[in-house]
Amino acid sequence: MRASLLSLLAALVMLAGCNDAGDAGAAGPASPGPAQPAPNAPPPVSAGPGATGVGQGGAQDFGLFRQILDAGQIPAPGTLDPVGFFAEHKLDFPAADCGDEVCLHGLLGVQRNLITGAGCTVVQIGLNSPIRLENLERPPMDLVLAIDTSGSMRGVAIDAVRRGLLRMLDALQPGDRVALVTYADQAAVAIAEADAVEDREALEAAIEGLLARGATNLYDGLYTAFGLAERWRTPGRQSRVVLLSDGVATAGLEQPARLKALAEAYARLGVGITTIGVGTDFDVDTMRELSEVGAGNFYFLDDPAAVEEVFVDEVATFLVPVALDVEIDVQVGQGYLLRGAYGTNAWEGGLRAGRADIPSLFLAGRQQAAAPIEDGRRGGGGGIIVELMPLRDQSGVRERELVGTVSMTWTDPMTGDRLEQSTRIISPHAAGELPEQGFFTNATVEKGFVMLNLLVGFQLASQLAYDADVGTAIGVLDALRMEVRRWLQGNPDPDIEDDLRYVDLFISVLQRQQSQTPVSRPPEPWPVD
Amino acid sequence: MHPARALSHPAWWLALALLAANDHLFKGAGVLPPALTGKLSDFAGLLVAPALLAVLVRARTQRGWLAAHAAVGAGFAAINLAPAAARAWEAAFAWTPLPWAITVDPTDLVALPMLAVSAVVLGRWARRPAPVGAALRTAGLALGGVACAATSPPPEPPFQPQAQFPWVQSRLVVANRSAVTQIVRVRALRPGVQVDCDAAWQQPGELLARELFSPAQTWLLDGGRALPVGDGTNTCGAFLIDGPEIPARLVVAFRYGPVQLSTDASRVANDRALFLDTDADGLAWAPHPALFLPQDDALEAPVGRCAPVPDGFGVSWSMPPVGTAVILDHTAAPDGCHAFDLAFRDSVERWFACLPELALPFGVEDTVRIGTLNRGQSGWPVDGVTVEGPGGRLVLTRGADLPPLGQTDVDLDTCERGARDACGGYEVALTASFTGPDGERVAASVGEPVLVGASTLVVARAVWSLAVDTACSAGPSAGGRWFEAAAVTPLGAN
Repeated sequence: MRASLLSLLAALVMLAGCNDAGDAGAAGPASPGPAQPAPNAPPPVSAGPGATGVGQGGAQDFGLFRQILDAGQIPAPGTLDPVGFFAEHKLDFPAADCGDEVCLHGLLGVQRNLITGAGCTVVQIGLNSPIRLENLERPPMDLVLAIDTSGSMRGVAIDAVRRGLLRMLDALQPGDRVALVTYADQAAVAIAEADAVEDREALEAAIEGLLARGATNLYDGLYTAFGLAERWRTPGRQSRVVLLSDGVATAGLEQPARLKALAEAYARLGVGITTIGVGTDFDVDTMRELSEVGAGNFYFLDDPAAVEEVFVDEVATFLVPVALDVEIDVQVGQGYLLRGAYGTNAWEGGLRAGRADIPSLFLAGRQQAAAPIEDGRRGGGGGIIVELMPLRDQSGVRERELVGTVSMTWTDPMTGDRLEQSTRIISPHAAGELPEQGFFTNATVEKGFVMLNLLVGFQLASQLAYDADVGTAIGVLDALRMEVRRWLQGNPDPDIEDDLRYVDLFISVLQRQQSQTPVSRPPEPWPVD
Repeated sequence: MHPARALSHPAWWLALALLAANDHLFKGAGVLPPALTGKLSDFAGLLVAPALLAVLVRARTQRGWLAAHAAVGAGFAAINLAPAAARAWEAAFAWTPLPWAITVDPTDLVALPMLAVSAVVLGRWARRPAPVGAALRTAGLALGGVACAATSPPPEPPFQPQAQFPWVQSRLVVANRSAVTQIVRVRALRPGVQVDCDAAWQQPGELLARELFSPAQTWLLDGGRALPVGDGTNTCGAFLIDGPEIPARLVVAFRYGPVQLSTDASRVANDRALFLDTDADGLAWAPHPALFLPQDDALEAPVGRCAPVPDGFGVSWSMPPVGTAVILDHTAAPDGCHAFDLAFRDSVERWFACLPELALPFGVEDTVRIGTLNRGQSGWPVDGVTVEGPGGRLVLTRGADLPPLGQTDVDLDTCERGARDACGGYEVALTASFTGPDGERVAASVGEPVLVGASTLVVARAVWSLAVDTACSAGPSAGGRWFEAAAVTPLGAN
């Protein structure tokens, strides 16, 4: 919750930072247009649809934000997790032909932002993989399922969990090991160890026997599950806990910090965690943080029925890391300063350089941005967008065309080898120069740019509404809506179209609120705090 | 006795001028507080009216002079005490070009002593043999008559200009001296936030993180208007103020007691106004001692013994199952938490205890007695649990004190700089030193076991809290100390 004000700060920094580059040309937002190659520009690269997206774990969706809007309410600041938001957008980066199983891309975008029209310079860091999911041969895995069987799970939720787990059994392979831990007042080991294929009957019986009653002793459930996973831990096998819960801890050690410390300690030993939050009453921040420290994913499932799919998804894709201990370093050129990064919670940066340490990279589900969106999560893999600020004084800058360098080192999960890639980002324009139609290395940067504007617009509107400035919040989203619609006319994209639906919904929710509590001059006598 | 001579006294003319100026210039102009302008006319009028009446009734004797004063006093008292009398007076003047509107206000009687001043001072002047010029007499009668008759303006319509510029009780005001209406967002500290106000005044940027403030109240502040901030009830008078055009500033106003302040930017005292002015770069704050820059960047955390304790490190436990039990199983996780499966007479319960590394005085199959504790070494309140086993007693405490350590003096050393916690609070690390009966002194570093008397103590957290959001973090209150510690004492010691 406390991240809320920081979100506003990030949003304001984003808009304020872009102002610095907006000297050239008239004010007012402009839709990103087609890239305009300058005579000395590097040739725009073509996108590589079909390459599999690579995600960094953490939140896999912005389900909570959507659910609040769908319910006709205003999301609090900090509700929209940038990692989850980006993860639901498929970006078609250039072809994954780097020769490794993960390819790094650094792409440039220079354009006016869609809210205030100030100039923005962004570097989009993309990761994709030549691995085709249908051809994927994954190593055997050790999976410990920690399932909340407290009383609040009774009914639809526990039924959906049973069905989901049974479907997941079909996606497992010979050699996979499964354990099942349930927790309510206390944790209980329903299946201590079972082969996914040979012990199928026992697993099915245990799953069918899940009953919901009692309190929620989250810590005990997690403690017990990690204990089993650690006991199995074998080199060359994936070891992971999947924690499902629909509520906050009401028994045992209840402090969220303890859960996080436990997940962090086991992550250091190589046991990851994926978290699944069901409904609307669980502790979103804690579940998200657990996945982030535990090198896993976080799913927000406001509809319990969606539980049926999520176990299969997790087994099919996200349980297969393509890179471990990933370090992404960004070094900016002499003509720029680094303002911040979006799309990762792992960023640490200064004015000239920044880095993100990501425990694991996973394959994402969707192959192409144009692929239709099914119900629920969109998948995609997302990316990291770094915002730069061109220096006003460019005298003394030697390599003026150099925007920056992005490098990545990681450990191959199969071989244990430490690998490295890097890319230089070159601009055809001088730092701070804002071409009339903007400049994008390729079309996917445009999409990333629009994504970023949507993220900032949503965050800003949430914060403004939180601060009772509903009129300005509507103004922000109105400006955004107009520009995004214009962009979509030339660039049809199912992700952005879906986002636009939520811009419209957000505006209508705000308008309803405004009609109830108009912001006006202080009444007389003015209230004092 | 010549009452007309009284009309030549400078005091009478001064009172007349004050009466006219107050009724026709000061009232409603916001120059003076309404409470003052209301009373000023009464004081001046009671000096002007008796002499005027005495002249009009041609009083020639001391008795007549005093009777005129008594008549004015009686009339004045009647219209300020009895609504019927006030309405009758209004009715009597209603047909004249100068109608009266009287507010019945018994507190106006505070001006009655002016009658005595008039009777004595002007009476002495009236008894002087010096002649009075006819012109002066006529002018005095005319001006005095008009001033007294026109003393109260007609009732004001509900939305007169002065109603838009109220005086309000506040510590300070934000005064918009620009010509443009501004959106101003004012955030007070959250209800559960506690702050050491003196420390906040010394280092506001460090102590008052954005996370500690509530959602803003948003105002449209017209040019020339002033917005009150702080009626005296808010914690430390601390606010975070900004706007789309207004640079963010922290306001710490607790050193300014609440007073009546004008909401007209041009009339508020400079020391109580946080002025917003237009300069070349846009809108800017004029310097004021209560204005501070917020410090949004992450604070550089101190290192070494003053370093903050990482999240998840500390001492905690699940609800202790009080009683005697046998330990059936004991496991420990890499986060420092231990799980004990305890067999009581009728049940088996799992109990968790998280503590820094420490040799426990019991193990599997041992019988232990579990109890609770609510006072620490110096008698301060703690939340504590005790587990007695065959090898000794384990004490875990969280609170304002360390575990009981026998005959030992405790000294605390406070670090100069602190760090923010995850909830936006600010705390400074403490180092505890212990002096036993033998005079030997040992200092306890966080996480390091130290021998204090017969006990082995590990302090997991020792802080002095200067700002805390009690709704977010389960720990100390502001201005208070907080310890989390574990101690093992062998059986028979202490």
